[in-house]
Amino acid sequence: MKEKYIEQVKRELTISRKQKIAIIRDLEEAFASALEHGETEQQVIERLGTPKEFASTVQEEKKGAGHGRAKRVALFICTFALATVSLAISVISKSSRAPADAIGAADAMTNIQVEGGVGVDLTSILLVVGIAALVLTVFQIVNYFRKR
Amino acid sequence: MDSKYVQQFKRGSLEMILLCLVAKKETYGYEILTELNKGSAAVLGYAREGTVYPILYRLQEAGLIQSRMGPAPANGGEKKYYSLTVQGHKALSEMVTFWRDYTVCVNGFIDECNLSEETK
Repeated sequence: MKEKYIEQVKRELTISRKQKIAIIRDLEEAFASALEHGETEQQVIERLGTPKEFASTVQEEKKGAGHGRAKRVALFICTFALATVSLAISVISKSSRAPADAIGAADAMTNIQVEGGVGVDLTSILLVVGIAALVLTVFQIVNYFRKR
Repeated sequence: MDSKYVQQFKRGSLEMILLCLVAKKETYGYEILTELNKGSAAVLGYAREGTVYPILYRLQEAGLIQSRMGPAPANGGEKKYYSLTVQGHKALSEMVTFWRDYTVCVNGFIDECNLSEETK
């Protein structure tokens, strides 16, 4: 009964993994202390309220640092969009670009590549940014499932 | 009395009450809860873990109390023992000074508002 309750509280908590561990530890101690003083698990659960109630009151304070669900979702969408857009642009521009030695005499569009100037190839930068954002997106997904 | 007023009074005083309990001696969650209920349940209502723990977290975050893990001989596990920090001592004495002035001030208004004898 106690295990089930704690499991449900764990599911209701939407804070960081570290904070979740701290709250669950305290909850386990609350049960242990109460049993030690002659209370039953049922009595403790009645006092704690529903897992949802307990989770929401107890994490109100801990949430302050801004690790709320909304912020996490927003961050995820941003990095995912950045990854998709920059990877798509870099792939499209790379595939439509003519080889470096092709000049003139083209059937359709003439694609003259001006080397030098900026120094660093913009599409390479986009590719790096895209891969970084993709890694960050994957990291967030992994983190999300680890927290659950 | 309307529970809204009780909630408001409680919100202002519970942090100070918990600091007092921790100041008395090094103590742990369940003991704080039982001590609190022993002294206040009749007036403030029965306190639950969901009320006490967030306040303890807040006080610790503010650096007013500190905790250490220690053995719990009775159940073979571990307990988190809370004690007051130097900053906590200072904050508590300031709060108590303010509270004393505050009650004198509020009582002054109450005494002047001429409530009928039976409600005094």
